[in-house]
Amino acid sequence: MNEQTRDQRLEDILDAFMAETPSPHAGHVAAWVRRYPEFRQEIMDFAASWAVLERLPEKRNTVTDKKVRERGLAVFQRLREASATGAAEASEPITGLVPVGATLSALAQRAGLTPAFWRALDRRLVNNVPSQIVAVIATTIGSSVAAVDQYLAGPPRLAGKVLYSSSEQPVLGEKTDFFDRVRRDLNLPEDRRAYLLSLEAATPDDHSAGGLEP
Amino acid sequence: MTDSSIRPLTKLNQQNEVYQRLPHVDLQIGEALALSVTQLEARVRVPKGEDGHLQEEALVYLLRHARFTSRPALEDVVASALLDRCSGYLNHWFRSLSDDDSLAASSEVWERLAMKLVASDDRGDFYQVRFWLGFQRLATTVFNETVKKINELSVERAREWDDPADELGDEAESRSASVDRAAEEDAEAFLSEKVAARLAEALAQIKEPYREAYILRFGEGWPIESTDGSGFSISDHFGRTPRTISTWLVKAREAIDKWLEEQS
Repeated sequence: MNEQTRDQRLEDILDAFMAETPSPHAGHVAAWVRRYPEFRQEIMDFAASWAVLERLPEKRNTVTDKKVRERGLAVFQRLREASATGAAEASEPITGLVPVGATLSALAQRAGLTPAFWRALDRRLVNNVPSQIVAVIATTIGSSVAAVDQYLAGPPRLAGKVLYSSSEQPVLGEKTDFFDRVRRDLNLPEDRRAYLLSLEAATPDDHSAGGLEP
Repeated sequence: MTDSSIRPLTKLNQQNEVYQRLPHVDLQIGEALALSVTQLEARVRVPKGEDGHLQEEALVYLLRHARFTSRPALEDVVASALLDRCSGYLNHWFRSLSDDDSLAASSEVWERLAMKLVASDDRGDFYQVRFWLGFQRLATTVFNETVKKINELSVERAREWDDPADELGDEAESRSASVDRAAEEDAEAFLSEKVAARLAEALAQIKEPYREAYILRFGEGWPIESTDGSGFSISDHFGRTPRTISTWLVKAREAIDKWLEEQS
């Protein structure tokens, strides 16, 4: 387990620990230490802090809620600005929708699509992709909406490993409408298909038209 | 009825089931998505318990929606609402830290929370299901790390108590026994709200790591030494011998007695 995965797993376990136990009392902590011996020390340390947090008396410092909030605002603003900069950087043309190390099926599953559908998107064979799905794709591959939009707007491309005779012109395929493809993709679960088709009823810029306009 | 355009969660819980938002949170999200930013600005201020209130779990969804559809104005409104609601709690939780430590720890919580809430993967899904629990867990983790840093020095200072027999000899044994008896009464006192408040005041006077050891032993019933091979004990937590922990408890109880005497 690499460090990041371990940290994430620990966080999940501690979330569940707090959700399922009423207090850091010995009996509860002992049970969780037995359940996850590989995180014994971390669970004990966390439970000890929980106990101390609950037992300490009223305020000893002069920090105000306003000051705490200001710190938070600074963090959120900085991250938003960094994201805007990052988005601009991420808007550099991307070369595909299957990042190195990722698998087609994992990407498709995360986005609620089928591998075949994702492959078609990767080959730029789909047009009229709803903004919500563009956002999902961007999130899934860790890119920006703008970069994905730009990529999908490009001409169809060949699949990565297509072999063809040098005397033949490769067939690139034609772009098809997103919703036609949704209707034709028999491997999409029904509830997912219904959701995707519900996006058709909306205007092309569904959420901005329906509300929450910037 | 759930709005089918709301993006489902994908993260798995400990039972390998996908986290699910509560149905009324989905309803709130659906309603909020139909509002303009100006309307939403008013809506996020509706207090808890009143019609139209938006739960924090719904706000987390809206924050992500704003981020991934590049709507900075919306993102500001939602982030601001979350900060309004959470700052008081965070300030309260870090009440025992110094001004500097409290603010540094608060910044750390905000940083980690924000990173999770706008992560491109599903690591923040839990916050759309049990926001306050996740937030408290995060604050507790940061508190733990902060106190650990602060305690590094005090634990070093406490090393002089590593071998109490050398320091106190038989006297330590006899003091330890009498402290055990007095502390058993404290364990009872922890259960009484009125006495617990006074005890909490007394605990504030004790230095670390004695205080933490005392709380764990008599507040939470942790064993000094692991007897079942699980490696769960105060001794294991601090990485010190059971005898050292016993001495820390003696020190803690003596500090409490001294403070109580001064108060009376």
